[in-house]
Amino acid sequence: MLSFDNVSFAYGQHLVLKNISLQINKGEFLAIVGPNGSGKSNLSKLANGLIQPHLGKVLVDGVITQMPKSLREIRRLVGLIFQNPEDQFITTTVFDEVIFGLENIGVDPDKMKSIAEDALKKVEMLSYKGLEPHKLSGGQKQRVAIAAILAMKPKYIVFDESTAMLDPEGRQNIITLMQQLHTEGITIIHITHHMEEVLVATRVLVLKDGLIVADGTPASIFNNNIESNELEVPLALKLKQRLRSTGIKVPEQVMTLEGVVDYLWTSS
Amino acid sequence: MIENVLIGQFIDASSIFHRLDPRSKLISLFCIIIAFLLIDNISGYILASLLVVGCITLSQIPLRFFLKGLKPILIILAFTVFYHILFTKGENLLFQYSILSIYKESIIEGFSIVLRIFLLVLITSLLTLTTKPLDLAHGFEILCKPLKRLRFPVEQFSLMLAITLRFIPTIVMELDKIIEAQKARGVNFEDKSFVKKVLSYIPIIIPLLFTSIQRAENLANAIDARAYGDGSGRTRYKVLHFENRDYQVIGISLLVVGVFFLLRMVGG
Repeated sequence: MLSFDNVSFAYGQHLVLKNISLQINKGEFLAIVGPNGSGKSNLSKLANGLIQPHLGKVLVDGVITQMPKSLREIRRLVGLIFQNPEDQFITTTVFDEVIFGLENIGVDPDKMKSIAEDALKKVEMLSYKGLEPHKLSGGQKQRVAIAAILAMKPKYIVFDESTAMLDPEGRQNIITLMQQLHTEGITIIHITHHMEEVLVATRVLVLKDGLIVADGTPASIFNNNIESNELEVPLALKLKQRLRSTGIKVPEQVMTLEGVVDYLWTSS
Repeated sequence: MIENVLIGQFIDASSIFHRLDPRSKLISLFCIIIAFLLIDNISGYILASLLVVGCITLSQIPLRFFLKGLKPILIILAFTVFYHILFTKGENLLFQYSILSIYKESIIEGFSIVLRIFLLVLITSLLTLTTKPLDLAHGFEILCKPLKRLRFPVEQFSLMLAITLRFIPTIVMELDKIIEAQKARGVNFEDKSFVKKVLSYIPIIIPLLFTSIQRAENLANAIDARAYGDGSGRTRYKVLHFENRDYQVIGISLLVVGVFFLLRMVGG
């Protein structure tokens, strides 16, 4: 479990996170949304000890992130994928990139090759393993970043607006990968501005001015809090609501465009 | 622009020098440099030249790549020759005109110094042409390990070197983008006047510096997030192995130092 206990974080006098308490359970797919400057990214950096809270504490599986000795293990457990694919590619080739993390956590060198190749296979980048970063697309680089994290066998992966700089195809690839990893038991935390991406989550958190203003399932968030939180409603939900207002009873649990279309085709 | 960027000077071939461990190449180079600095007579120069020609032939790399390395130092070489001819005093006067006097010894000395620098540059090029930059950095890192006792951050230095190489293509692409963007805003790069030419680079350098600093911060976060700590408990995937040929080459290099030392004793 990833837990934030009364966490506050500030840049100078400016309070970015205000007394946040939050529990993220194993196996959840949590989406975090909110306007720029709402503190989303700071939440992700707090989760693996890149920054430390000024008040309160952050615990990863019961271990506090303020302990310098436990930082390596915490960073192995909580993988972090950033926004810019170019700036998180540290080494000169795809294969070396996956190896880098394994070296850092002290994996036996004889086992590295097979671990790295398994991870690259999972994100379908194994055939690119000898390539340099400038020969890859943004989406491919992002997949390599995911492989580099997966090789370290994390329990949680935080995607900090990792889809923001990708083309639609690249973005869809990453979302599909997230869903696949979630079904394999990894806890996913996805920070995003794209409301359609939120619909695949099991839980949504809305952050505003450093406070949690809403916390619930995608359906409950979009049905109840839309106006008050100025969230843009995904097309599928808008369509569903319009249909419902005209008397076509699309069920509440339908969350995707495909779902609405399926309902319209199959209902009599 | 990106196609023109060659990382390092490495030229791939399958010569004995390409197969050697980078450490044995570094040690041998060190020996050869000492040997060449010991030369003080004509037979030494002949032997050294034969040795260099032999090595270049064995390396299977076209001569023009070696000569490329000499280009930037031609001016320094020319200056050295003139300096010696004009200012060194000797016994056999060849030519005199007012305060200008040229001696036989000064001509010989000028040219022998140039020949020595020539040979040193060629033999150093042999190392950089036959070794990948990263392997060189790795070899250097291992050879410098004793410096860790003096708290010199050997591993961090090697990572820094690797990152520098990794980001050359990224920065070049960024440069291309900035030039295009500034052209679109009407900056004129074709002006002939020197002052204007220099000034026109300001709108390129400032944004490039700015984005590079931002990149550096993101990269630092990415490195930390992947559990790169203080280097303790870190393992390495690539392990360098000394083969028989490495011992042989180091042995030969030590022999060369001995031979040149004897030549100096006998010839002097």
